[in-house]
Amino acid sequence: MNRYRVNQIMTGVLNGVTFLVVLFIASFILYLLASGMTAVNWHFLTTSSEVGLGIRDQLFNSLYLLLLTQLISLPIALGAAMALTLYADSRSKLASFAQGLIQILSSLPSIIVGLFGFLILVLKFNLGFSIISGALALTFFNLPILTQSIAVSLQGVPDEVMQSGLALGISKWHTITKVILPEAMPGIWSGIVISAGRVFGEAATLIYTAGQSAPTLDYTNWNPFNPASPLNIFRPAETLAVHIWKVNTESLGQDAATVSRGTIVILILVVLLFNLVARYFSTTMRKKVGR
Amino acid sequence: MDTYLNLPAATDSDIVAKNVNIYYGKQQAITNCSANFPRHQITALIGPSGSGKSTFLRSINRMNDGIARVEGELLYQGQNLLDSRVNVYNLRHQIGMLFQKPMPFAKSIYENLALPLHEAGNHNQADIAKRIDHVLKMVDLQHEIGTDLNQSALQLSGGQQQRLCLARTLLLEPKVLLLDEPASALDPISTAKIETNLLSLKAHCTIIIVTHNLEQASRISDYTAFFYQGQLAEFDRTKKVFLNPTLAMTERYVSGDFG
Ligand SMILES: Nc1ncnc2c1ncn2[C@@H]1O[C@H](COP(=O)(O)OP(=O)(O)O)[C@@H](O)[C@H]1O
Ligand SMILES: [Mg+2]
Repeated sequence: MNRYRVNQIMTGVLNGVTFLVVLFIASFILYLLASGMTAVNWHFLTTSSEVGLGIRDQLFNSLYLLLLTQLISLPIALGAAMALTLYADSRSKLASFAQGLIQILSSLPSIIVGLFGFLILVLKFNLGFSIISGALALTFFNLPILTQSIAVSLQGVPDEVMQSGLALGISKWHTITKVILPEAMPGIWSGIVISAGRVFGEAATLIYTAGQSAPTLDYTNWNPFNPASPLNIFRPAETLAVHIWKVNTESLGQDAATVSRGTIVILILVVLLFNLVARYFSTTMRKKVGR
Repeated sequence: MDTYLNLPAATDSDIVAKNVNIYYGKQQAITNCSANFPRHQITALIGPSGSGKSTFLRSINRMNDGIARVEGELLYQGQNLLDSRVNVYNLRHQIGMLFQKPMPFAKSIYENLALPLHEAGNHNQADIAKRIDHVLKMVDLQHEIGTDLNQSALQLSGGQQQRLCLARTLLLEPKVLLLDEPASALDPISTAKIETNLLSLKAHCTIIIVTHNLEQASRISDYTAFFYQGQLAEFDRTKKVFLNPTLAMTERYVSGDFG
Protein backbone atom coordinates (compact mmCIF):
# COMPACT_ATOMS: atom_id res chain seq x y z
CA MET A 1 0.00 0.00 0.00
CA ASN A 2 1.38 3.38 -0.81
CA ARG A 3 1.71 6.22 1.69
CA TYR A 4 -1.04 8.19 0.03
CA ARG A 5 -3.53 5.33 0.48
CA VAL A 6 -2.50 4.78 4.14
CA ASN A 7 -2.94 8.46 4.82
CA GLN A 8 -6.41 8.36 3.30
CA ILE A 9 -7.48 5.33 5.32
CA MET A 10 -6.14 6.73 8.61
CA THR A 11 -7.87 10.05 8.02
CA GLY A 12 -11.10 8.16 7.45
CA VAL A 13 -10.64 6.04 10.58
CA LEU A 14 -9.89 9.07 12.77
CA ASN A 15 -12.85 10.99 11.40
CA GLY A 16 -15.04 7.97 12.05
CA VAL A 17 -13.85 7.64 15.66
CA THR A 18 -14.40 11.34 16.27
CA PHE A 19 -17.88 11.11 14.82
CA LEU A 20 -18.76 8.13 17.04
CA VAL A 21 -17.54 9.90 20.20
CA VAL A 22 -19.49 13.05 19.37
CA LEU A 23 -22.57 11.00 18.50
CA PHE A 24 -22.35 9.07 21.77
CA ILE A 25 -21.94 12.18 23.97
CA ALA A 26 -24.60 14.15 22.12
CA SER A 27 -27.18 11.39 22.26
CA PHE A 28 -26.38 10.76 25.95
CA ILE A 29 -26.96 14.40 26.84
CA LEU A 30 -30.04 14.62 24.64
CA TYR A 31 -31.47 11.48 26.24
CA LEU A 32 -30.96 12.91 29.75
CA LEU A 33 -32.48 16.22 28.75
CA ALA A 34 -35.43 14.65 26.95
CA SER A 35 -36.27 12.20 29.71
CA GLY A 36 -36.17 14.91 32.39
CA MET A 37 -37.65 17.85 30.55
CA THR A 38 -41.22 16.93 31.51
CA ALA A 39 -40.28 17.21 35.20
CA VAL A 40 -38.98 20.74 34.81
CA ASN A 41 -41.44 23.57 35.24
CA TRP A 42 -41.70 26.79 37.17
CA HIS A 43 -43.19 25.02 40.18
CA PHE A 44 -40.25 22.55 40.27
CA LEU A 45 -37.77 25.43 40.31
CA THR A 46 -39.56 27.52 42.93
CA THR A 47 -40.71 25.15 45.66
CA SER A 48 -38.76 23.65 48.51
CA SER A 49 -38.05 19.92 48.62
CA GLU A 50 -39.32 19.86 52.20
CA VAL A 51 -42.85 20.98 51.42
CA GLY A 52 -43.15 19.98 47.77
CA LEU A 53 -40.95 18.17 45.31
CA GLY A 54 -39.06 21.22 44.06
CA ILE A 55 -35.35 22.03 44.05
CA ARG A 56 -35.46 25.76 44.81
CA ASP A 57 -33.17 25.53 47.82
CA GLN A 58 -30.77 23.05 46.23
CA LEU A 59 -30.36 25.36 43.27
CA PHE A 60 -29.67 28.32 45.54
CA ASN A 61 -27.30 26.25 47.68
CA SER A 62 -25.34 25.12 44.62
CA LEU A 63 -24.91 28.68 43.38
CA TYR A 64 -24.10 30.06 46.82
CA LEU A 65 -21.52 27.35 47.50
CA LEU A 66 -19.99 27.95 44.09
CA LEU A 67 -19.75 31.67 44.74
CA LEU A 68 -18.14 31.22 48.17
CA THR A 69 -15.76 28.57 46.87
CA GLN A 70 -14.57 30.78 44.03
CA LEU A 71 -14.28 33.79 46.35
CA ILE A 72 -11.96 31.79 48.62
CA SER A 73 -10.12 29.92 45.84
CA LEU A 74 -9.49 32.71 43.40
CA PRO A 75 -7.13 34.95 45.39
CA ILE A 76 -5.16 31.92 46.59
CA ALA A 77 -4.97 30.33 43.13
CA LEU A 78 -4.04 33.62 41.50
CA GLY A 79 -1.32 34.27 44.07
CA ALA A 80 0.05 30.75 43.79
CA ALA A 81 0.02 30.82 39.99
CA MET A 82 1.77 34.19 39.91
CA ALA A 83 4.36 33.02 42.42
CA LEU A 84 5.04 29.87 40.40
CA THR A 85 5.18 31.42 36.94
CA LEU A 86 6.35 35.00 37.43
CA TYR A 87 8.38 34.97 40.62
CA ALA A 88 9.84 31.51 41.24
CA ASP A 89 12.98 30.55 39.38
CA SER A 90 11.54 27.72 37.28
CA ARG A 91 14.62 25.60 37.94
CA SER A 92 14.40 25.93 41.71
CA LYS A 93 13.68 22.83 43.78
CA LEU A 94 10.89 24.53 45.71
CA ALA A 95 9.05 25.51 42.53
CA SER A 96 9.20 22.04 41.02
CA PHE A 97 8.17 20.55 44.39
CA ALA A 98 5.15 22.86 44.46
CA GLN A 99 4.28 21.97 40.85
CA GLY A 100 4.43 18.28 41.74
CA LEU A 101 2.24 18.80 44.80
CA ILE A 102 -0.38 20.63 42.76
CA GLN A 103 -0.36 17.82 40.20
CA ILE A 104 -0.93 15.22 42.94
CA LEU A 105 -3.67 17.27 44.57
CA SER A 106 -5.49 17.71 41.28
CA SER A 107 -5.75 13.96 40.85
CA LEU A 108 -6.85 13.26 44.43
CA PRO A 109 -10.23 11.43 44.33
CA SER A 110 -12.92 13.84 45.47
CA ILE A 111 -14.43 11.38 47.98
CA ILE A 112 -11.09 11.54 49.82
CA VAL A 113 -11.20 15.33 49.83
CA GLY A 114 -14.73 15.01 51.22
CA LEU A 115 -13.75 12.62 54.01
CA PHE A 116 -10.72 14.76 54.81
CA GLY A 117 -13.05 17.76 55.06
CA PHE A 118 -15.39 15.76 57.29
CA LEU A 119 -12.61 14.83 59.71
CA ILE A 120 -10.89 18.21 59.80
CA LEU A 121 -13.60 20.82 59.19
CA VAL A 122 -16.80 19.18 60.36
CA LEU A 123 -15.40 17.34 63.39
CA LYS A 124 -12.05 18.84 64.40
CA PHE A 125 -12.92 22.48 63.80
CA ASN A 126 -16.47 21.79 64.83
CA LEU A 127 -17.99 23.55 61.83
CA GLY A 128 -20.60 20.84 61.48
CA PHE A 129 -22.36 20.01 58.22
CA SER A 130 -22.41 23.51 56.88
CA ILE A 131 -21.91 25.72 53.87
CA ILE A 132 -18.57 26.88 55.20
CA SER A 133 -17.32 23.29 55.63
CA GLY A 134 -18.52 22.54 52.10
CA ALA A 135 -16.96 25.67 50.62
CA LEU A 136 -13.61 24.97 52.27
CA ALA A 137 -13.61 21.36 51.13
CA LEU A 138 -14.57 22.46 47.61
CA THR A 139 -11.74 25.01 47.74
CA PHE A 140 -9.36 22.16 48.42
CA PHE A 141 -10.84 20.29 45.46
CA ASN A 142 -10.83 23.38 43.25
CA LEU A 143 -7.45 24.99 44.05
CA PRO A 144 -5.08 22.72 42.13
CA ILE A 145 -7.09 22.88 38.91
CA LEU A 146 -7.69 26.60 39.12
CA THR A 147 -4.04 27.29 39.97
CA GLN A 148 -2.90 25.20 37.05
CA SER A 149 -5.22 26.83 34.55
CA ILE A 150 -4.24 30.33 35.71
CA ALA A 151 -0.57 29.35 35.57
CA VAL A 152 -1.01 28.11 31.99
CA SER A 153 -2.69 31.40 31.01
CA LEU A 154 0.14 33.41 32.56
CA GLN A 155 2.76 31.26 30.85
CA GLY A 156 0.98 31.99 27.57
CA VAL A 157 2.16 35.60 27.81
CA PRO A 158 5.65 35.71 26.25
CA ASP A 159 8.57 36.28 28.66
CA GLU A 160 9.60 39.19 26.49
CA VAL A 161 6.52 41.13 27.63
CA MET A 162 7.94 41.19 31.16
CA GLN A 163 11.36 42.12 29.79
CA SER A 164 9.87 44.98 27.77
CA GLY A 165 7.96 46.30 30.77
CA LEU A 166 11.03 46.23 32.99
CA ALA A 167 13.19 47.84 30.30
CA LEU A 168 10.71 50.73 30.14
CA GLY A 169 11.36 51.40 33.81
CA ILE A 170 8.04 49.89 34.89
CA SER A 171 8.24 47.93 38.15
CA LYS A 172 7.80 44.18 38.06
CA TRP A 173 4.55 44.40 40.04
CA HIS A 174 3.05 47.00 37.72
CA THR A 175 4.22 45.10 34.65
CA ILE A 176 2.32 42.11 36.02
CA THR A 177 -0.82 43.96 37.07
CA LYS A 178 -1.09 46.38 34.15
CA VAL A 179 0.27 44.34 31.26
CA ILE A 180 0.58 40.62 31.92
CA LEU A 181 -2.64 39.99 33.86
CA PRO A 182 -4.84 41.89 31.37
CA GLU A 183 -3.30 39.91 28.51
CA ALA A 184 -3.84 36.63 30.37
CA MET A 185 -7.38 37.57 31.42
CA PRO A 186 -9.39 35.70 28.74
CA GLY A 187 -7.56 32.50 29.65
CA ILE A 188 -8.00 33.15 33.37
CA TRP A 189 -11.73 33.77 32.95
CA SER A 190 -12.18 30.66 30.92
CA GLY A 191 -10.30 28.69 33.60
CA ILE A 192 -12.53 30.13 36.31
CA VAL A 193 -15.68 29.22 34.45
CA ILE A 194 -14.53 25.70 33.60
CA SER A 195 -13.60 25.10 37.23
CA ALA A 196 -17.00 26.53 38.20
CA GLY A 197 -18.63 23.81 36.11
CA ARG A 198 -16.67 21.13 37.95
CA VAL A 199 -17.42 22.63 41.35
CA PHE A 200 -21.10 23.00 40.50
CA GLY A 201 -21.47 19.34 39.63
CA GLU A 202 -19.39 18.00 42.52
CA ALA A 203 -21.17 15.66 44.94
CA ALA A 204 -18.66 13.41 46.70
CA THR A 205 -16.79 16.30 48.31
CA LEU A 206 -20.01 17.72 49.73
CA ILE A 207 -21.91 14.71 51.07
CA TYR A 208 -19.92 14.69 54.32
CA THR A 209 -19.18 18.40 54.55
CA ALA A 210 -22.13 20.52 53.46
CA GLY A 211 -24.49 17.73 54.41
CA GLN A 212 -27.48 16.10 52.81
CA SER A 213 -30.33 18.15 54.18
CA ALA A 214 -31.92 21.27 52.80
CA PRO A 215 -33.91 22.98 55.53
CA THR A 216 -36.50 25.28 54.01
CA LEU A 217 -35.05 28.73 53.53
CA ASP A 218 -36.76 32.03 54.12
CA TYR A 219 -35.74 34.20 51.19
CA THR A 220 -37.02 37.32 52.92
CA ASN A 221 -34.53 36.88 55.75
CA TRP A 222 -31.19 38.42 54.80
CA ASN A 223 -29.65 38.33 58.25
CA PRO A 224 -26.66 36.01 57.71
CA PHE A 225 -26.75 34.90 61.37
CA ASN A 226 -30.32 33.64 61.27
CA PRO A 227 -30.50 29.84 60.72
CA ALA A 228 -33.33 30.23 58.18
CA SER A 229 -31.47 32.84 56.16
CA PRO A 230 -30.16 31.70 52.77
CA LEU A 231 -26.95 33.62 53.50
CA ASN A 232 -26.17 31.79 56.75
CA ILE A 233 -22.92 29.91 56.18
CA PHE A 234 -23.31 27.67 59.23
CA ARG A 235 -26.44 25.89 58.04
CA PRO A 236 -26.36 22.54 56.24
CA ALA A 237 -26.88 22.85 52.51
CA GLU A 238 -27.69 20.09 50.08
CA THR A 239 -26.75 20.94 46.49
CA LEU A 240 -28.25 19.74 43.19
CA ALA A 241 -25.63 17.05 42.69
CA VAL A 242 -25.99 15.76 46.25
CA HIS A 243 -29.76 15.89 45.83
CA ILE A 244 -29.57 13.56 42.84
CA TRP A 245 -27.44 11.17 44.83
CA LYS A 246 -29.73 11.30 47.86
CA VAL A 247 -32.96 10.97 45.97
CA ASN A 248 -31.62 7.88 44.24
CA THR A 249 -30.29 6.22 47.40
CA GLU A 250 -33.22 7.04 49.68
CA SER A 251 -35.82 6.36 47.02
CA LEU A 252 -38.97 8.37 47.55
CA GLY A 253 -40.94 5.95 45.44
CA GLN A 254 -42.69 7.03 42.26
CA ASP A 255 -41.73 10.69 42.51
CA ALA A 256 -38.04 9.98 43.11
CA ALA A 257 -37.25 9.17 39.50
CA THR A 258 -39.00 12.29 38.25
CA VAL A 259 -37.28 14.60 40.74
CA SER A 260 -33.92 13.01 39.98
CA ARG A 261 -34.35 13.40 36.20
CA GLY A 262 -35.51 16.98 36.52
CA THR A 263 -32.56 17.85 38.73
CA ILE A 264 -30.21 16.24 36.25
CA VAL A 265 -31.62 18.46 33.51
CA ILE A 266 -30.98 21.61 35.53
CA LEU A 267 -27.49 20.49 36.51
CA ILE A 268 -26.56 19.69 32.92
CA LEU A 269 -28.00 22.93 31.58
CA VAL A 270 -26.06 25.02 34.07
CA VAL A 271 -22.79 23.15 33.38
CA LEU A 272 -23.36 23.47 29.63
CA LEU A 273 -23.96 27.18 30.10
CA PHE A 274 -20.67 27.48 31.99
CA ASN A 275 -18.84 25.74 29.18
CA LEU A 276 -20.39 27.98 26.55
CA VAL A 277 -19.34 31.04 28.54
CA ALA A 278 -15.82 29.61 28.87
CA ARG A 279 -15.65 29.13 25.11
CA TYR A 280 -16.78 32.69 24.62
CA PHE A 281 -13.95 33.92 26.83
CA SER A 282 -11.31 31.77 25.23
CA THR A 283 -12.24 32.50 21.61
CA THR A 284 -14.01 35.84 21.28
CA MET A 285 -12.05 37.70 23.91
CA ARG A 286 -8.75 36.20 22.86
CA LYS A 287 -9.35 37.37 19.33
CA LYS A 288 -9.63 40.87 20.68
CA VAL A 289 -6.40 40.88 22.68
CA GLY A 290 -4.49 37.86 21.34
CA ARG A 291 -1.08 37.83 19.72
CA MET B 1 43.75 35.53 23.82
CA ASP B 2 45.03 38.53 21.85
CA THR B 3 42.93 41.64 22.05
CA TYR B 4 43.16 44.95 20.28
CA LEU B 5 41.19 47.90 21.61
CA ASN B 6 41.35 51.27 19.91
CA LEU B 7 38.94 53.02 22.26
CA PRO B 8 37.58 56.54 21.81
CA ALA B 9 38.30 58.93 24.66
CA ALA B 10 36.38 58.17 27.85
CA THR B 11 35.53 61.85 28.18
CA ASP B 12 33.57 61.69 24.91
CA SER B 13 31.74 58.54 25.97
CA ASP B 14 28.36 58.09 27.65
CA ILE B 15 29.03 54.50 28.72
CA VAL B 16 32.40 53.37 29.98
CA ALA B 17 33.06 49.76 30.99
CA LYS B 18 36.00 49.06 33.28
CA ASN B 19 37.10 45.49 33.87
CA VAL B 20 33.59 44.10 33.69
CA ASN B 21 33.18 40.43 34.58
CA ILE B 22 29.78 38.75 34.39
CA TYR B 23 28.83 35.39 35.84
CA TYR B 24 25.77 33.16 35.57
CA GLY B 25 26.21 31.25 38.82
CA LYS B 26 29.70 29.80 38.53
CA GLN B 27 29.83 30.10 34.76
CA GLN B 28 31.63 33.20 33.53
CA ALA B 29 30.00 34.80 30.48
CA ILE B 30 32.06 38.00 30.17
CA THR B 31 35.74 38.25 31.10
CA ASN B 32 37.49 41.52 31.84
CA CYS B 33 35.69 43.73 29.39
CA SER B 34 36.77 47.37 29.15
CA ALA B 35 35.34 49.67 26.51
CA ASN B 36 34.12 53.21 25.87
CA PHE B 37 30.92 53.88 23.95
CA PRO B 38 31.19 57.30 22.32
CA ARG B 39 28.43 59.87 22.76
CA HIS B 40 25.96 60.29 19.88
CA GLN B 41 27.60 57.57 17.86
CA ILE B 42 26.47 54.06 16.96
CA THR B 43 28.57 51.18 18.25
CA ALA B 44 27.84 47.72 16.88
CA LEU B 45 28.50 44.61 18.99
CA ILE B 46 29.29 41.68 16.75
CA GLY B 47 30.56 38.14 17.33
CA PRO B 48 29.45 34.51 17.23
CA SER B 49 26.35 33.31 19.09
CA GLY B 50 27.08 32.73 22.75
CA SER B 51 30.02 35.15 22.79
CA GLY B 52 28.31 37.25 25.47
CA LYS B 53 27.00 40.24 23.49
CA SER B 54 23.50 40.14 24.96
CA THR B 55 24.84 39.46 28.43
CA PHE B 56 27.04 42.52 28.24
CA LEU B 57 24.33 44.71 26.73
CA ARG B 58 21.75 43.72 29.34
CA SER B 59 24.09 44.75 32.13
CA ILE B 60 24.08 48.34 30.92
CA ASN B 61 20.45 48.90 31.92
CA ARG B 62 20.63 46.46 34.83
CA MET B 63 18.38 43.90 33.16
CA ASN B 64 20.73 41.28 34.56
CA ASP B 65 19.72 42.11 38.12
CA GLY B 66 18.76 38.85 39.78
CA ILE B 67 19.92 36.82 36.76
CA ALA B 68 23.67 37.36 36.52
CA ARG B 69 26.35 38.76 38.81
CA VAL B 70 28.12 41.77 37.30
CA GLU B 71 31.51 42.85 38.68
CA GLY B 72 33.71 45.79 37.77
CA GLU B 73 32.52 49.25 36.85
CA LEU B 74 30.00 50.44 34.29
CA LEU B 75 30.01 54.20 34.18
CA TYR B 76 27.06 56.14 32.83
CA GLN B 77 28.02 59.79 32.47
CA GLY B 78 30.76 59.19 35.01
CA GLN B 79 28.63 57.43 37.62
CA ASN B 80 28.85 53.69 38.34
CA LEU B 81 25.46 52.37 37.33
CA LEU B 82 26.15 49.05 39.04
CA ASP B 83 26.01 50.80 42.41
CA SER B 84 23.15 49.31 44.44
CA ARG B 85 21.97 52.81 45.35
CA VAL B 86 21.21 53.65 41.71
CA ASN B 87 17.45 53.93 41.06
CA VAL B 88 17.02 51.34 38.31
CA TYR B 89 13.68 52.79 37.19
CA ASN B 90 15.22 56.17 36.49
CA LEU B 91 18.24 54.50 34.95
CA ARG B 92 16.02 52.58 32.53
CA HIS B 93 14.26 55.79 31.55
CA GLN B 94 17.64 57.19 30.55
CA ILE B 95 18.99 53.98 29.05
CA GLY B 96 16.28 52.50 26.84
CA MET B 97 16.26 49.03 25.33
CA LEU B 98 14.76 47.34 22.30
CA PHE B 99 14.63 43.57 21.89
CA GLN B 100 14.82 41.12 19.04
CA LYS B 101 11.13 40.21 18.88
CA PRO B 102 8.71 43.09 18.42
CA MET B 103 6.78 43.00 21.67
CA PRO B 104 4.02 45.60 21.90
CA PHE B 105 1.66 45.08 24.81
CA ALA B 106 -1.72 43.51 23.96
CA LYS B 107 -3.34 46.93 24.13
CA SER B 108 -4.17 49.80 21.83
CA ILE B 109 -1.39 51.84 20.23
CA TYR B 110 -2.29 54.74 22.48
CA GLU B 111 -2.19 52.63 25.66
CA ASN B 112 1.15 51.16 24.62
CA LEU B 113 2.61 54.63 24.41
CA ALA B 114 0.80 56.20 27.36
CA LEU B 115 1.57 53.45 29.87
CA PRO B 116 5.31 54.11 30.29
CA LEU B 117 4.57 57.82 30.70
CA HIS B 118 1.88 57.14 33.29
CA GLU B 119 4.26 54.86 35.12
CA ALA B 120 6.91 57.55 35.04
CA GLY B 121 4.44 59.85 36.78
CA ASN B 122 3.27 61.89 33.79
CA HIS B 123 -0.52 62.27 33.84
CA ASN B 124 -0.80 65.44 31.80
CA GLN B 125 -3.06 64.41 28.90
CA ALA B 126 -2.04 67.25 26.63
CA ASP B 127 1.64 66.67 27.23
CA ILE B 128 1.23 62.91 26.68
CA ALA B 129 -0.58 63.50 23.38
CA LYS B 130 2.16 65.86 22.25
CA ARG B 131 4.93 63.39 23.13
CA ILE B 132 3.13 60.51 21.42
CA ASP B 133 2.70 62.59 18.29
CA HIS B 134 6.38 63.49 18.39
CA VAL B 135 7.74 59.94 18.74
CA LEU B 136 5.41 58.53 16.11
CA LYS B 137 6.86 61.09 13.73
CA MET B 138 10.38 60.16 14.76
CA VAL B 139 9.86 56.53 13.76
CA ASP B 140 7.86 57.45 10.62
CA LEU B 141 4.80 55.55 11.79
CA GLN B 142 2.35 58.40 11.69
CA HIS B 143 1.40 58.28 8.04
CA GLU B 144 1.25 54.47 8.12
CA ILE B 145 -1.17 54.08 11.01
CA GLY B 146 -3.17 57.25 10.49
CA THR B 147 -4.96 58.94 13.34
CA ASP B 148 -6.66 55.92 14.90
CA LEU B 149 -4.48 55.29 17.92
CA ASN B 150 -7.20 53.15 19.48
CA GLN B 151 -6.58 50.22 17.15
CA SER B 152 -4.82 47.24 18.70
CA ALA B 153 -1.03 47.40 18.49
CA LEU B 154 -1.07 43.71 17.63
CA GLN B 155 -2.83 44.40 14.32
CA LEU B 156 0.25 46.16 13.01
CA SER B 157 2.77 44.33 10.84
CA GLY B 158 5.93 43.00 12.48
CA GLY B 159 8.02 45.90 11.24
CA GLN B 160 5.45 48.46 12.38
CA GLN B 161 5.23 46.75 15.76
CA GLN B 162 8.99 47.02 16.18
CA ARG B 163 8.93 50.71 15.27
CA LEU B 164 6.08 51.19 17.74
CA CYS B 165 8.29 49.57 20.39
CA LEU B 166 11.09 51.91 19.39
CA ALA B 167 8.71 54.85 19.72
CA ARG B 168 7.62 53.56 23.13
CA THR B 169 11.22 53.53 24.28
CA LEU B 170 11.89 57.00 22.85
CA LEU B 171 8.93 58.49 24.77
CA LEU B 172 11.02 58.55 27.89
CA GLU B 173 13.72 60.51 26.05
CA PRO B 174 16.58 58.11 26.72
CA LYS B 175 20.14 59.35 26.38
CA VAL B 176 21.38 55.88 25.54
CA LEU B 177 19.65 53.27 23.40
CA LEU B 178 20.49 49.57 23.67
CA LEU B 179 19.29 47.31 20.87
CA ASP B 180 19.59 43.52 20.84
CA GLU B 181 19.29 42.34 17.22
CA PRO B 182 16.29 44.65 16.71
CA ALA B 183 15.84 43.80 13.03
CA SER B 184 16.67 40.11 12.90
CA ALA B 185 12.98 39.15 12.87
CA LEU B 186 12.08 41.70 10.19
CA ASP B 187 11.93 41.79 6.41
CA PRO B 188 14.52 43.87 4.48
CA ILE B 189 12.22 46.88 3.97
CA SER B 190 11.30 47.09 7.65
CA THR B 191 14.96 46.62 8.50
CA ALA B 192 15.90 49.53 6.28
CA LYS B 193 13.28 51.70 7.99
CA ILE B 194 14.63 50.87 11.44
CA GLU B 195 18.16 51.63 10.26
CA THR B 196 17.02 55.01 8.94
CA ASN B 197 15.36 55.71 12.30
CA LEU B 198 18.56 54.86 14.15
CA LEU B 199 20.72 57.06 11.96
CA SER B 200 18.51 60.07 12.63
CA LEU B 201 18.31 59.23 16.36
CA LYS B 202 22.08 59.50 16.56
CA ALA B 203 21.69 63.27 16.81
CA HIS B 204 20.66 62.99 20.44
CA CYS B 205 21.21 59.37 21.45
CA THR B 206 24.18 57.14 22.11
CA ILE B 207 23.37 53.86 20.43
CA ILE B 208 24.74 50.39 21.15
CA ILE B 209 23.40 47.68 18.86
CA VAL B 210 23.99 43.93 18.86
CA THR B 211 23.68 42.54 15.37
CA HIS B 212 24.38 39.34 13.49
CA ASN B 213 23.93 41.19 10.25
CA LEU B 214 27.46 42.29 9.34
CA GLU B 215 26.26 44.45 6.48
CA GLN B 216 23.98 46.22 8.90
CA ALA B 217 26.89 46.83 11.26
CA SER B 218 29.01 48.26 8.49
CA ARG B 219 26.12 50.33 7.10
CA ILE B 220 25.07 52.12 10.25
CA SER B 221 27.74 51.93 12.94
CA ASP B 222 30.66 54.24 13.65
CA TYR B 223 32.47 51.84 15.96
CA THR B 224 32.45 48.07 16.10
CA ALA B 225 33.17 45.81 19.05
CA PHE B 226 33.99 42.19 18.25
CA PHE B 227 33.19 39.75 21.06
CA TYR B 228 34.67 36.30 21.11
CA GLN B 229 34.15 33.66 23.82
CA GLY B 230 33.16 36.16 26.47
CA GLN B 231 35.93 38.63 25.75
CA LEU B 232 35.99 41.90 23.91
CA ALA B 233 38.55 40.92 21.28
CA GLU B 234 38.69 43.96 19.04
CA PHE B 235 37.27 47.47 19.25
CA ASP B 236 37.89 50.02 16.52
CA ARG B 237 36.28 52.28 14.01
CA THR B 238 33.83 50.28 11.92
CA LYS B 239 35.65 51.01 8.67
CA LYS B 240 38.85 49.68 10.15
CA VAL B 241 37.21 46.54 11.57
CA PHE B 242 35.58 45.64 8.28
CA LEU B 243 38.28 46.67 5.83
CA ASN B 244 41.47 46.04 7.72
CA PRO B 245 40.95 44.37 11.11
CA THR B 246 43.91 44.02 13.42
CA LEU B 247 43.33 40.47 14.67
CA ALA B 248 43.28 37.44 12.38
CA MET B 249 40.26 36.15 14.30
CA THR B 250 38.29 39.32 13.55
CA GLU B 251 39.31 39.05 9.93
CA ARG B 252 37.94 35.53 9.76
CA TYR B 253 34.67 36.54 11.40
CA VAL B 254 33.94 39.60 9.27
CA SER B 255 34.78 37.71 6.11
CA GLY B 256 32.19 35.11 7.09
CA ASP B 257 34.55 32.24 7.82
CA PHE B 258 32.70 31.32 11.00
CA GLY B 259 29.38 32.16 12.48
N1 LIG C 1 19.94 33.44 31.62
C1 LIG C 1 21.08 32.74 31.46
N2 LIG C 1 21.45 31.81 32.38
C2 LIG C 1 22.59 31.10 32.23
N3 LIG C 1 23.44 31.25 31.22
C3 LIG C 1 23.14 32.14 30.27
C4 LIG C 1 21.94 32.94 30.34
N4 LIG C 1 21.90 33.75 29.25
C5 LIG C 1 23.02 33.48 28.54
N5 LIG C 1 23.75 32.52 29.14
C6 LIG C 1 25.05 31.99 28.67
O1 LIG C 1 25.97 33.04 28.57
C7 LIG C 1 26.74 32.93 27.39
C8 LIG C 1 26.61 34.19 26.55
O2 LIG C 1 25.29 34.26 26.06
P1 LIG C 1 24.71 35.55 25.31
O3 LIG C 1 25.09 36.74 26.08
O4 LIG C 1 23.26 35.32 25.09
O5 LIG C 1 25.50 35.50 23.93
P2 LIG C 1 25.18 36.24 22.55
O6 LIG C 1 24.17 37.31 22.78
O7 LIG C 1 26.51 36.77 22.10
O8 LIG C 1 24.70 35.19 21.60
C9 LIG C 1 26.27 31.69 26.68
O9 LIG C 1 27.17 30.64 26.99
C10 LIG C 1 24.91 31.43 27.27
O10 LIG C 1 24.65 30.06 27.30
MG1 LIG D 1 22.18 37.48 21.96
